[in-house]
Amino acid sequence: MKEKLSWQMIGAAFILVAAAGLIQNTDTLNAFGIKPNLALAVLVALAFFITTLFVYSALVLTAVAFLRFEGGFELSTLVFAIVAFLVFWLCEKLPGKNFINNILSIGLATLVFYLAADPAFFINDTISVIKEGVYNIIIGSAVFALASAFVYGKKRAQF
Amino acid sequence: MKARIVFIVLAVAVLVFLADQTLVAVKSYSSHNFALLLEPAFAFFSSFVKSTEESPEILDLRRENELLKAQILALENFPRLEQNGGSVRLTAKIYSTYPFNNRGLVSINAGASSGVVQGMAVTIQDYFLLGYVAEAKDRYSLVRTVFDSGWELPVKIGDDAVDALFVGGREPKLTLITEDKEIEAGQVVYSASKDFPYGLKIGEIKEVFDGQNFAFKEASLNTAYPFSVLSDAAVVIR
Repeated sequence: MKEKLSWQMIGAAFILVAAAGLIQNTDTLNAFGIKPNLALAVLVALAFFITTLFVYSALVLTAVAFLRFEGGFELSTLVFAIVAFLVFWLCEKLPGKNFINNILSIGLATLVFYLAADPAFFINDTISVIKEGVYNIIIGSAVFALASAFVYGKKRAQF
Repeated sequence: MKARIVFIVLAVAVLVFLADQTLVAVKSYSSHNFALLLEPAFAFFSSFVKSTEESPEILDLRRENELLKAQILALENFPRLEQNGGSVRLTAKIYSTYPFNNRGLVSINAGASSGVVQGMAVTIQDYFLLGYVAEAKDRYSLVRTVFDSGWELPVKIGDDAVDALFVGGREPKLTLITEDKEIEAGQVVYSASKDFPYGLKIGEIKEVFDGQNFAFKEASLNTAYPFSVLSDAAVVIR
């Protein structure tokens, strides 16, 4: 069961998503040629804490604003938003510990994102997709642990 | 009724926001500066994991690198025209890279207002091919790079000018190299397309794959520069 978040925490979530979107447009976190989908990892992790669809929608829109690369509509950003919303819907339904659910959701979201946004890339460069998935999971797990410590406190962290 | 009106207004606002391109330039500029802001922190942490023992050559290169960085700092960040022999190039900053791994696109801070036109070649340090202008907006341009999967380009290999087809991607490769031509690791690969200046270096051969059952050889490629460190580019105006 999610706890209602304070406005300060919601504000921090917006800053986190905006920073993730900005960094994702750079090669700052490029490791061995792979860039993490930082915004997706952060959004999926936050989906386990945000209670209202309205706030989550605003977070997704913030991420999309920072990820848009050209004018007009981009399939990638549209798929990104849909995948983020799917995770928000899915995270309530998954059984088991939220920490494990978060890992599974990030991995699944990465695969679904490329499968829908660029199937040719998914088929031709599956290894890169898997590497990115692992990278996303590492970052998403860190964000989840951090958010869990803030929201529930260290003793009640939802692992 | 009121909720429906609010929903419709919000939906229209979101659509206008998504269709408008004004924010893209602002975002690119912000990303670029944010990366510059983070650079010292990352350099500080990475200094702990790097070896402290360096050869004299590395130290010389580091000093030279520092000098070059200082020279770059002394120059303006705005796009500017430079003439080199008969060719005219417009130098520009690479602002933003495509946010996902499946595309090798970058945005640069020079657009149609600076004379950039779709299809123009884009180079690194004048002699390395980075890509071409895929879209020229008013204040910025999108450049499709050699790291974009699916981009194909006729190239030549080494002093013998062996023909090959360059296929872009995160790990670019060369295909359609005829079996009877001898190529080896380390040979230079350069552009030979009518769309770009002839002889722009793309990289060097890393490994040759000579499948016995195929009529052609393939080769992997080391590009002349790592994608992650690019910050400046030049558009070939003519």
